[in-house]
Amino acid sequence: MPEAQRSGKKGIKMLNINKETDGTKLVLSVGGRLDTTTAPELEQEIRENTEGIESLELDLKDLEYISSAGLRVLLSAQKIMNLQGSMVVKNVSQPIMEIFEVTGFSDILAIE
Amino acid sequence: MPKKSVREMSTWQRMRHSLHGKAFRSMILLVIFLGVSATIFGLYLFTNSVRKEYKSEAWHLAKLAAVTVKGEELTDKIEEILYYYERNKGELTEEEISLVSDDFFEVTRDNLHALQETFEAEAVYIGALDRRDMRMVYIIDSTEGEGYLNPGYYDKIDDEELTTYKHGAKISRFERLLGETNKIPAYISDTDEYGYLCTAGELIYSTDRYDVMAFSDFDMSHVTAMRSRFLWQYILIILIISAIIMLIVMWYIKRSVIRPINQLSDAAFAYSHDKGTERRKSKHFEKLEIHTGDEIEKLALTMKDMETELGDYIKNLTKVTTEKERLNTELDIARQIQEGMIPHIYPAFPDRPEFDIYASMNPAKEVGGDFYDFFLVDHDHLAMVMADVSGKGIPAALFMMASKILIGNAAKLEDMSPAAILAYVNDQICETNTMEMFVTVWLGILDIRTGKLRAANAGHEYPIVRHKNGSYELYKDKHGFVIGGMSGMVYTDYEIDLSPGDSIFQYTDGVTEATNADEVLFGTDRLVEALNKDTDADPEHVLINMSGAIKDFVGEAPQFDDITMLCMKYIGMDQG
Repeated sequence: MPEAQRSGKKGIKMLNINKETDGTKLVLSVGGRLDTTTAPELEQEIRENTEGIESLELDLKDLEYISSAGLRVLLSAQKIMNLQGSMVVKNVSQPIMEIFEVTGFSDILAIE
Repeated sequence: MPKKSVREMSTWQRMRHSLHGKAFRSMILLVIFLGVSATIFGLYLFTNSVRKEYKSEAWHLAKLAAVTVKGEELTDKIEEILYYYERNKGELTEEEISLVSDDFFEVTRDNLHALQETFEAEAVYIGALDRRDMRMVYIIDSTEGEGYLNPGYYDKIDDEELTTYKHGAKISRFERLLGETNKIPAYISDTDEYGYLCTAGELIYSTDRYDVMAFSDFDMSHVTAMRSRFLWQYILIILIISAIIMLIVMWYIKRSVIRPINQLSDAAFAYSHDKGTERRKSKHFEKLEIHTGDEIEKLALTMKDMETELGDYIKNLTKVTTEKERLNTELDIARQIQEGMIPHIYPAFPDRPEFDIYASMNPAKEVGGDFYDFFLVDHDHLAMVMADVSGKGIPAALFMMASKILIGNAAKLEDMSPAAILAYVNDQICETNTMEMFVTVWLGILDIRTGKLRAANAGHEYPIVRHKNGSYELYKDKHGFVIGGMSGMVYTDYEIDLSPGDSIFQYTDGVTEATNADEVLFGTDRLVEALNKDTDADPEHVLINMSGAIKDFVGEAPQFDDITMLCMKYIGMDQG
């Protein structure tokens, strides 16, 4: 069942995470901003829900901004999934793609 | 309700409104009220009681008189007198009076008089109630001297009096309430002629027209005197008792209510006058000894707890504040250490005219994660580093220091190209990177003699290069992965040929991601545009211009990220 979650200051939605899983595959739809304040939430989501997951899919269709804190979370997710399965990043918007290219993350992440 | 608050009142007003004052006034009012009520009621009961006694006594005397004088001879005498009365339709003449006042008359009169004296009554007499004409007709009067009433003398009477003598006085509802059931045929009157009297009557015999009765009169003026005396004694006693009770109650209230409250109030006042940190050790409420066993004691205990808790809180706060100040001082020192570690003296290489280099770093917090570095690897090679650690603040600063040192050391090792240096440093950092931080690095090594710039880029921004007489352009170099992300990464060297007059500008994303109040980013386009506004500027002024451009763009919005820039102009060997 997908669940919407809120985060951020003063009730303004800074980050939205939608969760869908069938037991072995986990799809996280991440929307909004992934920065120093919101990255810990995504990190916690990944940490809590990836046990026994063989395939992690991150849908970044609604992601507007990612900072180095967000990149860190993606990197650690990649490392986790490297040990138990695979990870793929989908629907990356142009600005986010540029960041991936500049930082070399485009070579490390599986992007579709 | 007083209009002013307690603090605005004068001393006199405060006294008036104080708890003590209020209690005192309330007590007095209560005492007065109770006292007056008690007096009135007591007086009423007393008076009633006394009157009843008198009535009773009068009636007994009347009964006794009736029994004493009863007889045939009396009946004859009375008829005789009444005969004259009826004939005269009123009083008897002097002759008739003499006529009737025979021995029997006098003996009877003496008897009656004896009774009067014995009982200390005002008068004892035989009278006939003339029902037809509503009159009391005096027959034989025991009075001696002036007050003597001749036989045949009469007074008007009314229904009430008549009924009273015949059937007893009406009992009021109140008296019935008190359990009074006896109807005493006694009548109390207050006339100018006879004074304040209580008269009781006992029937001797009745005819169609007359009720012949024996009467006794008692002087009630004693009662008045008794009443006065009673009243004064009573009031006095009540006052004394009230005063005593009032004192006791006041003392009690004072002790169990007013004094504790005043103590609490004083303690609170003293507490509020403690300065700041004195309150840590405040013991004003602690010192109170209130054991009234009621809500006031509860309040005192609560205040004591509150005082202790507040004291602990302040103690804690002070500790925390001191700690925070210590941290701030340490942060400041850390900042200075950071600043000291990266090149900050300009001109940087005054004895090397072949190039001009300038760089600056402005952290968003006290310490930052961005850094630059430049140093001479050897006499002919200048290394330049631009780096950005993930994150900000202390964690980034620590990682920054480690990275800078590692890169600097690696660069000084023999025969390492930029790509090799980055790979080497990456593996080193990955070994101990428990927090999984990373740093983007651009590393360039310039051959000062030839102007050839070899560089490698580990996830960092594109450098901006200006070839002489041209404009600044973004140079899209090949990017490897960030340093510290994963071990075993490979990087690629590339070369840029610099001719004298060419410049290279490097920066961190704090520049391109500087945001204004409308949440618009500065961006690379604006960056290149700003650089091209003054293409001939020397490195120092390039940075000054850029700082200005960023500041203008950002306006009032706060600095979100570290802003770090480096500019190097290659002048070449010939200018030396």
